[in-house]
Amino acid sequence: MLSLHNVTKNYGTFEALRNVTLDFTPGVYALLAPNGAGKTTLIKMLATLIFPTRGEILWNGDDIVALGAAYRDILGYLPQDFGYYKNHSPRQFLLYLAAIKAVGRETAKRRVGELLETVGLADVADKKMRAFSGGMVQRVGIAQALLNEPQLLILDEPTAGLDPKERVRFRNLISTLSKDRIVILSTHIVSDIETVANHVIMVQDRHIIANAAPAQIVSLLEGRVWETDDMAVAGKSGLVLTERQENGATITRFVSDSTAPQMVSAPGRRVWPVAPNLEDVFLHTYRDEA
Amino acid sequence: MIRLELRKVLATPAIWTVVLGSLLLNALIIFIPTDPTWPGDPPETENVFERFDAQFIADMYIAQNNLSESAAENVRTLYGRVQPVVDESAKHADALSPYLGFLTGWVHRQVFGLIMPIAVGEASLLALTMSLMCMGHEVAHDTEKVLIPTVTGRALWRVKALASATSGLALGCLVMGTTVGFVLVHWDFSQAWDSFVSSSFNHGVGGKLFITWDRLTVATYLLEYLAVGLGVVGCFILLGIVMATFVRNPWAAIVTTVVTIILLGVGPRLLPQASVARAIGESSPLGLLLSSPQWLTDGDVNAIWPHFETWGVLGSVLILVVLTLVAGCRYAKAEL
Ligand SMILES: Nc1ncnc2c1ncn2[C@@H]1O[C@H](COP(=O)(O)OP(=O)(O)OP(=O)(O)O)[C@@H](O)[C@H]1O
Ligand SMILES: [Mg+2]
Repeated sequence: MLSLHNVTKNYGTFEALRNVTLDFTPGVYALLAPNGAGKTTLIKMLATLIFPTRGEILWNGDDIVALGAAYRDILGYLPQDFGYYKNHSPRQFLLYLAAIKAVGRETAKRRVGELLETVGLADVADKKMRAFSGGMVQRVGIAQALLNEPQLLILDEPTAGLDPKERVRFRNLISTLSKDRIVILSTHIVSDIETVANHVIMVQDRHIIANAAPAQIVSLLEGRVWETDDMAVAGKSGLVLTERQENGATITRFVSDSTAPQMVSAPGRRVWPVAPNLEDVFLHTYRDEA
Repeated sequence: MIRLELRKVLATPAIWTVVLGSLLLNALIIFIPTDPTWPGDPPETENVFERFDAQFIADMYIAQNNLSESAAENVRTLYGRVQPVVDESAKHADALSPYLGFLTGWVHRQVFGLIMPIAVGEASLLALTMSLMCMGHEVAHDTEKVLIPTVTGRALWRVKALASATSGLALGCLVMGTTVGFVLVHWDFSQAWDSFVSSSFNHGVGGKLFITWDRLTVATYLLEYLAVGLGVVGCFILLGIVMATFVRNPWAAIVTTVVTIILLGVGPRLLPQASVARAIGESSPLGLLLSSPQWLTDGDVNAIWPHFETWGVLGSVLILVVLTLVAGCRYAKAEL
């Protein structure tokens, strides 16, 4: 459906992405990468806000820029940081955007009402957005992306600023939406991905380094993640991932390829294997990045 | 679509404050000064164009401004072309037109030397502001990222350009039209419409005879003056569109526009008088605004060809239309 062939993007002399090749079929794709890796760059190219320096992006075989309005008509897009008209209410703003998206008047009125309900803003639908919190604005942004019932929904950090309740609501929304459309979202929040994504795409050093189901990605570290209550062990034997307090002791989680029995058998030291999760993979993959 | 864009800019209270402020200022200038009275009987009209040698004005300009030989030649050539116009006016005795009688000089200077130039200036400023606001609205609100990846897409630029033109011309007409209305309320022009503006009661704007290239009545002069005024307003609309497209940050666009206008206004003044370069330089939108008291006439020393205002407007519009098209193409491919 949507495919990128050898897409490279340069900003002047700076190369942000190199030779990205990806295929998207209906489902939820999560872009997981650290700050500055190029997630927004990739997404903005899909939104035709910027253009590839080399390579092509095709929708059903046609170049998206050449398709123009026909492509943008099936696109729903939430930018990472976006502005809004402060003295508009969410309803006014969404109705304006519906007009820009060429949604008919009556349909627009109905859709806007439904979407305000969906994102939990029905009771402030006619309040000026000037006084809105970041999370409320973000929800207006999510509603806006859905106005034209897009076949291709692209969301750049959609859960940024959402409280846990709204995040759950968002995940459920994405799950129901993803049946017959492509949803691409970028996020740093691992739990978002674990619950909704069918595919995880990881970017490192300008390249796509992984594009697979979450379980498959997690299996990369199968048998290599451990926990210990002795920090010295963790430090010596591998990469420290996280630390947490449990019953007055500090439990350290780490990745190690060295033989476990050796560590376990050392006198007075306790080390035990644990199942890896996406966060472990993220921390392990991007361990060398500032 | 265009309605939605118009609503955004016209809903700005600042715009209406400027409109009302302008009209108030114009009303004050029109209604406050009292008309002069004539001591004794008004003088007889005389056919001042009869046996008038247009080279007299040329020689005056050349002497007053110490012109170089080539500049002097430009001026003499121009007044060679003025002579048949003068002869034609003399033949028809246009100078005997009553216009507004002994009030003519004063009213004409007030209306076409002060009030209308101010009104055209206000209209131009409003039009420029409208197009800068209209074109820069989404950058200022950081909403381009939301609006452009939609079915409308970058065609929004065209809609905005049309909205800028519509609102600029509408506000321009409003300010100029209302000001003309004030003028007609204050002075009774009802008997004057068919008089020729080259009346001998009218001592013109620069103290010299008031010579228009065409034999214009008060009515046709006013209409042509307003048409040129709208042309200048159009230039400022296009200038705003071009500036706001090339300079994306709205504040930077405002600063760049102001600097550009000042440079276009001041720059040509450094050129030698009555030269071709100077005449071209003074055809910029600001140059045209500043010369508005002389529109449709033989102009001041630096106007070296007939109908300088018409050629100035046409030239400026042409250049700005080309720049606008370039800006439009550029926006179509711009990375946002
Ligand atoms: N317009 C631009 N000009 C120059 N460099 C840019 C531009 N936009 C982004 N970059 C650079 O490209 C790289 C990728 O940026 P991008 O915004 O795509 O990262 P990201 O993965 O979305 O990061 P984040 O998680 O912080 O949103 C960064 O190094 C950034 O500095
Ligand atoms: Mg980003």
